[in-house]
Amino acid sequence: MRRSLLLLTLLASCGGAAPADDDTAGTRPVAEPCTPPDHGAPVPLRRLTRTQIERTLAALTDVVTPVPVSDEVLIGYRANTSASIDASTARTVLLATEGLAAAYAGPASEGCEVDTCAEVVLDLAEPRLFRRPLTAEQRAPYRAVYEAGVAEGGKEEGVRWLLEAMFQSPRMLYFIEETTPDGDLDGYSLAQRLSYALWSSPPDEELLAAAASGELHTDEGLRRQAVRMMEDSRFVWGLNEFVVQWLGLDDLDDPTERPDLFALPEGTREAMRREPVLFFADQVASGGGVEDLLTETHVPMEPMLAEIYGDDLLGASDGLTALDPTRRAGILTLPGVLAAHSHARQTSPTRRGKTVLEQLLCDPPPPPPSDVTPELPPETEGGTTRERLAAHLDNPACSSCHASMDGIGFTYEKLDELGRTRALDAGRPIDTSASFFISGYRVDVDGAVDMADVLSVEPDVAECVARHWGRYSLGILEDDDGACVAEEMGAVASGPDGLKEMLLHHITSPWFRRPAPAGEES
Amino acid sequence: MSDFSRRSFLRGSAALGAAGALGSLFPWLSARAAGDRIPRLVLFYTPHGTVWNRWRPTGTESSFAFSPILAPLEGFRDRLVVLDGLRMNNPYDHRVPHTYDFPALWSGSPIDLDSEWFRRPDHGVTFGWNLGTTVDQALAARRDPAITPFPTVELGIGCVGAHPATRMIYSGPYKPKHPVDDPVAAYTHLFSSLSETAGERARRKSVLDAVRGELATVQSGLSASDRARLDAHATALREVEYSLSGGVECDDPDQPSGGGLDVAVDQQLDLMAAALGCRLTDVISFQHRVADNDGSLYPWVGIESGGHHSTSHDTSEAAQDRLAELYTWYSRRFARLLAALDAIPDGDGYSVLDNSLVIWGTEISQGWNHGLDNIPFVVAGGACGRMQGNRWLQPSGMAHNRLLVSACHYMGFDEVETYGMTDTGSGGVPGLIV
Repeated sequence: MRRSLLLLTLLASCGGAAPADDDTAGTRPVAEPCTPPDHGAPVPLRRLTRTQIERTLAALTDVVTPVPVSDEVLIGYRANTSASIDASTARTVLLATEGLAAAYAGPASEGCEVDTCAEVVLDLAEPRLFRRPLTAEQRAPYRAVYEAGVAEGGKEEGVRWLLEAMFQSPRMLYFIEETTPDGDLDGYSLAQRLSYALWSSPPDEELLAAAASGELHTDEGLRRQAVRMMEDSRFVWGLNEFVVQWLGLDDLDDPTERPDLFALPEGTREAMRREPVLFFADQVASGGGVEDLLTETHVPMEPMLAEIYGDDLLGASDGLTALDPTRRAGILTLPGVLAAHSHARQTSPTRRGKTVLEQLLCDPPPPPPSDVTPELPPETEGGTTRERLAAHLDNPACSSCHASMDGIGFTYEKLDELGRTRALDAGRPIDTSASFFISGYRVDVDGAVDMADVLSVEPDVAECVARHWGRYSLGILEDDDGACVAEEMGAVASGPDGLKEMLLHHITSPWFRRPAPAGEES
Repeated sequence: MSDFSRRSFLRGSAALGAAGALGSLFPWLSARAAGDRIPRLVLFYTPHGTVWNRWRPTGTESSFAFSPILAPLEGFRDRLVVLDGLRMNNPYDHRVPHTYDFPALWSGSPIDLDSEWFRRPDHGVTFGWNLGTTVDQALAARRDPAITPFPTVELGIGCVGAHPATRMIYSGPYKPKHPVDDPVAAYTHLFSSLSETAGERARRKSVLDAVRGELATVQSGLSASDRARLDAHATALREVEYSLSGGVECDDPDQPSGGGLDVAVDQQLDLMAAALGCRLTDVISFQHRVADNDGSLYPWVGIESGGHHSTSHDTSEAAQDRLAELYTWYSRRFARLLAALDAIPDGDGYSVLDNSLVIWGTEISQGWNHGLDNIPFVVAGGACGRMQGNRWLQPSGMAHNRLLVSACHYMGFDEVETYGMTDTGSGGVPGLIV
C-alpha cells in the first residue's frame, strides 16, 4: 500500500510530498488488487450519538428533547466506541429524559388499564426505542418498574416510571447487536446499522418488518431497503451528519473564531452549512458520481446565499441554481466549505489545502515541527495572503509540506473567507496558479475549477471519500480489510449512479452486514 | 490562632444553635463531629505550560517575591508552595506532545501506544486511552464510596470532544471521566438532588435499579473491553444512586446564568467551592479547556487571533508577553477559587481552604519546545495544618509522581510510596506534606 510505504521515511510522511526521486514522467504502477474480507468489520459496542439519541426519543414521542451528552470524536467522526458512560453522562440522560417521560406518560396511558398498560406501552415503545422486540424474559424488569410506579400512584405513574427506565436503558443508548445461529448479524442489528448511517435515526416500521421477515438477509432485499431509504427525506439527516463532519463544517459555528460569519444577515450562515449537504444529496439522487461531486455547477437553491454568490449566479430552474462554471466547480467551491477553512477576515490557503489533502486525498500532512514558529507576518505589512505565506516556502523545514498544502490552497484564492468571488487581494491581483504533488505526481493547475478537474479524475479521491463514509457509518478507522472495501467502493463511485452505488456496495458488503470474526471486536 | 482556640470557637458557635453565627447556609456543620478536620483535594488544570521568566519567583526559598504571573496569589502566600523543578517522566518520543502528556499529568502513567483506537495520521502514530488511574480517582476508590454523595466531581470549561487530548481524569485504564463543562449542567449535576423530594428519590432509585439490571443482560457476545465499558456504566449508575441518598442538607448556591466562557470559568469555580463546602464531595478537579490544542482566543488578554496554542509556539517577545498576560489571568482564576474556598467556614474556625490541598498543574513546561523537564506547579491551601506555606521549593531532577504521592499522604494514605507507571522513585515531595 502506498500510504504505509510513505510512512517509512520522514520526508515522505508529509502529505502531498514530492517522491524522493522526483520521477513525474512515469505512468502509474497498476496496484495489485486486494482481497476484500468475507467477514465483518471489528466494530466495538457503540453508544448512540447525541443526535441519534434525540431522534430515537422523538421517533416515539414526536418531541425533540435536548439530551446534552458529549460525543467522542476519535477518527474525525462522532462515534462513541471507546469511552464509557460515566456518572455525569448518566445523570444528564436521567435529568434530560424525565420531563419527556412525565409529559408522555399521560397520553401513553390513556386507553389502557392498569393491568394492560405495561404491555401496551412496551409494544409501542420497544420497536422505536430499542429497535427490536424483547422476549418475555427481557420484559420482566420493565414490568417490575411499572408495577413499582403503579403502587406509588396508579397506571400513569407506572407508565412514567416504565418510560424513564426505557429512556435510560442500555438497549436505547447502545447499538446492541445480535447474531443469527449461522453467525450473521441478525436483521434488527443490520436494520439499525442501516438506519443510523443513512438516516441518523432509528429504523421505521417498514425496515423493522424487513428485519423480521429476513428480507435484509438477501442481497436484493437489503439493496431494496437501502435504495428506499436513500429516497426518503430522512436521508438528508444522515448525510448531514456525514458531510458536516467530513468537510469540517462545524467550524462555521464558532462565534469566537468567526465573528464575521455571525455578523452576516440572519440565516446566511445556516444556509452555508446546509448547502454542501443538500448538494451531496442532490448528486446521489441525480445519479452523480465522485466526478460530479467535484465539478457540478448546479447547486440547490439557497436564497440567503445570493449575496455571497453575486455575479457567479447565472440563473435558476427546477430548484437548482446555475453557477458560473469558470469560477465554481463542485462541492469544494461552495461558500460553506470555503468559509469553514478560512479565518475571520482572511482566507487560509493552508487550511484549505490541508482539508483537500486530509479529507479528499486521505494523505494528511504532519503538524509543524515543534521548533518552528508558525506565526506569519502580520496583515498590516500589506501584500496578498499568498505573499505573506511565502515565509512558509522560504524555510526548507516548512516548505517540504507547505508546498503542497499551500499550493492547493492558492488555487482557491479568488474565493474569499466568506466564499465570495474576488478579483483583488489587498488591492493586488491574485495568482491562483500552483505546482505541487498529489499522490506522488506533479500537477500544475491554475484556479479552483482547474483544481476540481484534477481531483475529479484522481482515483485516490474516490477511494478517500469511500474511506470517510466507512469511518462515519461504522465508527471505526479502516484497517487493511476496510481499505480494500474502500478501494472497491472508489472504483464503483466512478461508474453510473456512482455515489449511490458506492454506498450500496458498502452496505451489501460482508464488511458492513456481517459481524467481526469471534474475538476480533475492538 | 492555636488549635485550642479554634476548638473553643466551634463550641461557641454550636452553643448558638442552628441559626447561629454560621447561619443556615451550612447546616451540616452542626452535625459534624467536633474536632475532625476533613481533608479535601482539588486538582486545577490550565493548558500549555507557562512563561518561565514571568512565572518564577525571585529570592530564596522562604523569602521571595512573586513574579507577575503569580502575583495575584500574594494574598495566599502563607498557605502556598511554588513547586519549581518537578519533571514529567514520559517514556515516549514527542510525536504528539500535548496528547501524550495530558493524561499523564494526574495519573503518572502513559497512554497506550499499542492501541489503534486513536490515530494521528499526520504524525504517523496510533494510541489509546491512558493506562493508569488519576490520583483523585484512586483515592476515591480507596475510600468508602458513600462517604460523600459524589465520590469525586469533575468540572471544566470548554472540554470539547472525548479524546486523550481532552480528558485528564481516569477512573482506570481506558476509563476517562467526562468533565461537566457547562455551569448550568454542573449546577444541575451537583445540586439538583438537594431539592428533590422523597418521592422523586424513590422513583429515581427504582428506575436506576431497573436500568442497572438491564445492563447485566446485554453483555453476551461482547469483547472484554466492551464489557468493561458497560461495567463502568453500571458503576456510574451506582454513583448517581449514592447522590440520591438525601444525606446532605445544604442550601443551593445561586443557579448560574449564561455568559461567555470567561464568565463561565468563575461560575464553575464558585460551584466547586460550594460543592466542597456542602461536602457533596471531598475530591474535585477542574479542567480549563483542552491540552491538544487550546486554540481558543482570549481577546481580553490580547490573544485575538491565532489562538493560545499557536501563540505558545511563538517565541517572539510580543507573543510571550501576551501569553504571560493569559497565564496571569489563569492565576487570577486560581486566586478566585482559593478565595471562594476561604470564604466558607469549615468548623473549628477553619475555612474549607484551610482543610484543602489545591494543586495547579499543566501538561508541559512551556509551549514552544514542549518541554517536560520542569512542570510549573503551585500547591495551595492549609492542608489541615500539614503544609508549611510561603515557600518556593526548587527540587531538582525529581519526577512529578512525587507530588501525586504527596496528595495520597495528605488524603490519609500514608503508606503510598509510588504513584503511576512512570514512577522511578519513591515517597512524596520531601517536606511538602508533614
